[in-house]
Amino acid sequence: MTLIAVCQLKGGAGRSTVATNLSVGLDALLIDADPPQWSAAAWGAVRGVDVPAVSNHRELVDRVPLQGWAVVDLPPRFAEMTRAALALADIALIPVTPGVADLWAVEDLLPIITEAKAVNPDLKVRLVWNRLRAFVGSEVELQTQARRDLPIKPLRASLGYRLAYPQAFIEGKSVLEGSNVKARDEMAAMVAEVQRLGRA
Amino acid sequence: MATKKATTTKKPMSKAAQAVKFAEGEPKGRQPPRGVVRLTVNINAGLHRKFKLAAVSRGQTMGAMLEDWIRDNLADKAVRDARAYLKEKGQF
Repeated sequence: MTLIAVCQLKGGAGRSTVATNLSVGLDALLIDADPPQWSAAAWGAVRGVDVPAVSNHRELVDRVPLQGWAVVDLPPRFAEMTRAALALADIALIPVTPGVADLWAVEDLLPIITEAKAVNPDLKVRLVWNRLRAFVGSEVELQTQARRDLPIKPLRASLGYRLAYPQAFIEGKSVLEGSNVKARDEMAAMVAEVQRLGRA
Repeated sequence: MATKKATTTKKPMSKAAQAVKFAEGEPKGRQPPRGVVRLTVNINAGLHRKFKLAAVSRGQTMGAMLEDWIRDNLADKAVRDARAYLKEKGQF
């Protein structure tokens, strides 16, 4: 089993976008651990697939499959759920949009990651840049600043600022199944990178 | 030659059980460390609030403040006297 925990303490950074798209790309079981929003489960209902919605860490641990890939969409808080997922996961992905508040929230997450690594030393943690506009100077500068200040490496693949993402979500789809070539290519690159990371 | 089976005194734990343990942290109702006892007292609610606010404003725990107060206000002589009194009464 390879478990990917998608976590971020700040809301609106793109946890569900990353989790739903990766679940399609990796053919993974998606678990929604973000009550009471249950966005990923709602996406699953539109898609017509069963996305288990768990409301506590014990339920989450029971739901993690023994084989294959699983992606868990975590709540934006220090909950037992986040701790349990980080203790179990192979990869933790932290979506960030190019805003300083997202990076501050990552800093708040660092102590719990350090604690989790004590019980789960193989945990690999990566930032995922989301809604990135590579041509905006201030956003490029923020990426440089994050690389300098945060002890977490970013994934090489990043997601751009595209309407294709919310559109795909509403339709219960992944951008991998859509017609926006740029969105499809960047998500495919992200899936491939995560697969490599999971096998490493 | 028979090989000796490796043994460990540490109880093996599954990754799932370890995750639950990590998530829940220390068990509730944890005993105080060695050499420390738990004190339970009933005091006036308003005083308790003041005490709590004072501890927060000083960046101390209520327990630490109480210990400081006891050290500052109960001279060793008073403690020795009390011990002698209780010994005399056969209660120490």
